[in-house]
Amino acid sequence: MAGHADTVIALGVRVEGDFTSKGDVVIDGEVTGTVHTDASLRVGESARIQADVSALSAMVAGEIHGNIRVADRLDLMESSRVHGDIEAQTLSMAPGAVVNGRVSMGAMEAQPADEVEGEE
Amino acid sequence: MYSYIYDEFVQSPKFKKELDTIESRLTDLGMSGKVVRLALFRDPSDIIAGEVSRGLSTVVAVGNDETARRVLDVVAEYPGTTFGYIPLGTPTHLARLLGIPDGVEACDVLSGRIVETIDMGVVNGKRFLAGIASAKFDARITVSGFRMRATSPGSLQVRNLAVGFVPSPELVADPRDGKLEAVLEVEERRGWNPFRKRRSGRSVLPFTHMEIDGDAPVTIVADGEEMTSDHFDISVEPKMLKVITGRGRMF
Repeated sequence: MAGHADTVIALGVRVEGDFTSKGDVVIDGEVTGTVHTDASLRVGESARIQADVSALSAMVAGEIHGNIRVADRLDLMESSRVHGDIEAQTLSMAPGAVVNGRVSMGAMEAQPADEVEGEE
Repeated sequence: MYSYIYDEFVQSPKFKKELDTIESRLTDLGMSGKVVRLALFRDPSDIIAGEVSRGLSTVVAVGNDETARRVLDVVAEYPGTTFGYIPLGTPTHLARLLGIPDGVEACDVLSGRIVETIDMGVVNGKRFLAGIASAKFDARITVSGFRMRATSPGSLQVRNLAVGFVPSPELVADPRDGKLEAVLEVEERRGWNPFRKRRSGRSVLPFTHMEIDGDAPVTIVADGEEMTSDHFDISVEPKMLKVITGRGRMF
């Protein structure tokens, strides 16, 4: 799952708080709070996220309790479980993926630059 | 102008022949300079500070990684001064990272003078070049805005370059990017079956400032020096040090 991501939250690690990054992020562990990246996000099968998530693009195979906002493409794999609302430009959903929430697709308003914090 | 800081151990008869060859090669290359010999109770910081104030531009550590660390600590205080390294003895992992061969061949690297300006890390006010390691790490990590903790004890590395022997360049961080890299490795057994294979996770986190807080004192090794505390404050000082590297450097 790791690939060449800038940041990896691996299995066996728990993160609490507002997690922000400008680079690619891979999450296989547990995250509570909020997650934001200006680049791509990959949520692995073992990941358990209780947070609102925003990213440029995302691939989700794990579980997310929170709203997902993706500026470009969101891929929900067959093992994914999403309990929250989804906003994405493009959505791809594999058979078996579970979504409990509202889904809206199409043009999204750009997020104001001052809402995006620096890296870390 | 060059100054060569000889560690105490390289002045033993064991290294005499190699040291003579090095001095001869440096003369051939037109790079001879002042030689300062360290002794047991002679603090390199006072010696180097004195030399730099007299207009010294390049300080070369002659010895092993411990020698390099002692010299680096002082050189970093003087912007404009360049650090060089002629590895003799062991360990010389830092030389591998910088692309500097052992012994007399290092003279040609110094002569080539490929200078990189690199970052240095700071832990509890003390500078480090390569990195920090903690073998049995069980503490809370705080990076601006969030906290991170392993669910079971693991190992932590904080890399400016890399820690210890590095078999491949993929394990080396870029010391020019203005960031440090934390690598937290944890093994986790899933379920109750004791024969079930453990799964290991390797978390990677780039950062500029981090705090470590332990419920009990945590022991870390920063560039070979052991430190124990229940709180560590780790940050990066970007573009802090000018260092001569070889073409074979690992970053």
